[in-house]
Amino acid sequence: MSPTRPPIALLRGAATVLPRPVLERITSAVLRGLARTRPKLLANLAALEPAVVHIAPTDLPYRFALTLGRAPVRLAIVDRGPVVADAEVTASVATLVDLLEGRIDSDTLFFRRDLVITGNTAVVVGLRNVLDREELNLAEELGALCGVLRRPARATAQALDRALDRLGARAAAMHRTLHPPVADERDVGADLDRCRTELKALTARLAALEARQKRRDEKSA
Amino acid sequence: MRYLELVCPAGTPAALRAAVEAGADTVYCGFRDCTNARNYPGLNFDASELAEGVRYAHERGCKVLVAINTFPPAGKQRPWHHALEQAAAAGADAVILADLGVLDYATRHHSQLRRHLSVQASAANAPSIAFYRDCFDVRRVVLPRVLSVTEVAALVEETGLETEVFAFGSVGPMSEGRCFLSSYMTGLSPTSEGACAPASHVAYIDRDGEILSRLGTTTLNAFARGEPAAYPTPCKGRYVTLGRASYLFEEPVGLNAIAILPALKAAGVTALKIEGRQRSRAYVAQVVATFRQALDALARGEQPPTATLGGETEGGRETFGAYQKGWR
Repeated sequence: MSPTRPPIALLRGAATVLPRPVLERITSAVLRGLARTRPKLLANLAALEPAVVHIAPTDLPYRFALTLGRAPVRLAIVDRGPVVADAEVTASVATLVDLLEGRIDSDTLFFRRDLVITGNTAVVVGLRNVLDREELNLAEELGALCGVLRRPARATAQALDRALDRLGARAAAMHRTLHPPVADERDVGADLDRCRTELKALTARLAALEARQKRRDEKSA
Repeated sequence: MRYLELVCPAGTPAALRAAVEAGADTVYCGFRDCTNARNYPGLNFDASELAEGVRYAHERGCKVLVAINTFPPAGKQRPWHHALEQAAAAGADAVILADLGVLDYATRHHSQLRRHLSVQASAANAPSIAFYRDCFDVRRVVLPRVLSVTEVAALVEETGLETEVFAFGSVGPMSEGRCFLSSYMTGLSPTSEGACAPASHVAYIDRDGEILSRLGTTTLNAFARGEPAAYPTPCKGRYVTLGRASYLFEEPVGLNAIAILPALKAAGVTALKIEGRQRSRAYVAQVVATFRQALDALARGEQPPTATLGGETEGGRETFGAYQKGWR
């Protein structure tokens, strides 16, 4: 199991505000780092059925396109829009990181519908199984990019993450104050009952009108 | 003394380590090929990973069983023979076999390798189990998930063999090892190619928030927004009959026998099997740790802690399965 949880709020925040070229350089650097430290992972990904899998975090404005089944494995950032990949995996950033690090079971998420898979299921199952073989820690992989400054970078990241979490909680509280949730007082069941009663009355009325018309027609004939 | 042996799944070396750390007495796994009834992409062990896994487990007092539990097609027995050789070379504590020919080969060529009868052999009565015991010196039988606790007790008494029963995982209504529902929809055999509802034939389609699950060209289920989902296997499909959609074979629920462990112990069961080599190491760690706690508490004569594993089960619901099925 991974020893520490990565700074999710910071990751999400950075992934939202950093310019696309910077994010692309970071993802490329992480992949290069993994190729050095975990060659078997990259070899297993390259050995899977050739496919492009979109990883779509629900709380980011874009998605990742992972190209498998060939060497080198590629990870690109792509805009949201119609899916042109072989498969797509959709979940929140926190859930995806938990999955990557083996903290949570994908079938459990699937049963709860917290993870949505579309497209070629074999590709996604293969990807899940290959990743689950590794005891990955995203914070460490990102920290490795900082070289000798890894430790202070990690401490700073954790501090920033806590600050962002507090800020997020405060903003959410403020939003709740300004926009209190409107209780939905509609009783859908009662509405349905009313509709049924009305439909019954209309049907009876229509039948009566038809009968009256029929009697008139017979009389005039 | 051990209350019941806890036999745990490992689809990957990482899951094997997770199972051992969480308190497994025994781990079972298989090779990355057609010899394995869980032959899913990216899963399972090669020969060197198995040897390393066996070494890791043995150093921590844990046994490793290797499932070679599919049925060779005519004239193609070589992968099964090779798997037996690799399991023996890796130092596996036993092999779990189903096919008569493979059992015969193992008996003649690897007589020192302990043999367990896989659930895939579907041996559910005393004469059948005795046949495997007498002909192939099978030492343990993994019983199908179709027996009540009373029937399990009778089999233990009549055969005198070690029995291993499922304690957690999926439930299926068919006689295990003889179900071909998936084959009709995919053209692939789960018993000779190693996967029921192979992922290559499964598709999920989002229809305005409702998820359709398909196997081949057959739609098996439609889950409304927020409704717990089920595996895309034909036995868990929701079919329309007389204008009404319902689960004809089996509802999407998961087996959890944790509350009836004393009854299974009293029935003479030797080992409990946790199902799920296709599940992640997070699942393995959580389920194994929960059962370890329960078994340790029972061994001390205490009540097991009330822990729920509902989140890990299919459909988010638990059942005792056939162990306490009223209609039986």
